[in-house]
Amino acid sequence: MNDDTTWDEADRELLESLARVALLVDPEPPYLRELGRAALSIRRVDAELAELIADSQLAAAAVRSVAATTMRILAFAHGRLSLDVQAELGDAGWDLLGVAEGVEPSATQVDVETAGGVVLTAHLDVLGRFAFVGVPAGLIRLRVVGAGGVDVTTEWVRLAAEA
Amino acid sequence: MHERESLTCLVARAREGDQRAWDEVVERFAGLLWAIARSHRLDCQAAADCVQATWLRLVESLDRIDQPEALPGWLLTTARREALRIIHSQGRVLLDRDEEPRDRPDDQADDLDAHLLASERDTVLWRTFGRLGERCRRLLRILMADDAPPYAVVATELGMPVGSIGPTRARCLSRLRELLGESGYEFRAGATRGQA
Repeated sequence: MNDDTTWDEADRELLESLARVALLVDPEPPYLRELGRAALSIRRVDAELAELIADSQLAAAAVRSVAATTMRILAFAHGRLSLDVQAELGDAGWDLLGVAEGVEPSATQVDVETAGGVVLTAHLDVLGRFAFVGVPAGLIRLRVVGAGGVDVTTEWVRLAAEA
Repeated sequence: MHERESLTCLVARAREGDQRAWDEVVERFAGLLWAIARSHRLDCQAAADCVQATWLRLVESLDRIDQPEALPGWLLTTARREALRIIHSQGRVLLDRDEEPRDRPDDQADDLDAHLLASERDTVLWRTFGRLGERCRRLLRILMADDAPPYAVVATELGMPVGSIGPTRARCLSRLRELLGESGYEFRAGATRGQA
């Protein structure tokens, strides 16, 4: 509100009234700042970040179907590492089936981390595949840790709570 | 009030893992992020998800923020993208920005707990605000926030020339007054106090 000198006094008052009412009727949930403050603690310093390079949810923009909301295909990449994940909404959360390429399968594990701090771990099979069952909806990221100092974390993606 | 620490300092300290510096960043911009999320008509839960995702993305990007002073713009852009992702995943279609959704009740107005408000006048004000078009609500909601970003940032976000922010704000408030007028309340200069 500060870098504009063209304010009409009445406009300023009206906006101030709106701001006051907004604080009363539409306050942030009290826990939200707590979550914001806690975000720093799950920071991974110097983490290598794998970018989301494909997301069927975004590709399906034009055509919406039930399949588009209960099944999702995600692809991440960082350097030589690529991660392809198929997520399917089951009765007890999301089931993930994925494959990692560019790493040594026998010496690599994949974690799923939720914003709430839950960590699930899977080991790759000989073909680099991994699976998770019942991943809770919400924000998640994957972390790939393996031999030779491989430690890559994907960006956060949101798995919808329901179709 | 003490001199506020620059964002460059706060971000540098947060990068070193200084929790107090990070807390200060959160305190400074939490209201703005909430306003952005809600201005996209996300319900409370979705708006909270949007804000949390924005903080998580900031944390994961802390080392890549080249211009900490431009953080308000970064947050605005990131929160808007999150909001659009959520809207998309809900299968909602974004309304045309200038369209006033006259025919359907506003979801935020529906949430309104009239008992919280001191006066019927405030209730009318908030409900009427919810009847404004997307662009107006978004602009005003952002400008209401304590740490509203500079106009140049707001302009980029709303896809408007920076010079039109002032006039658009004036037009939106004038439209709001017009709608309020239909409800029988006057919100002219000097009339915004008193009568309660």
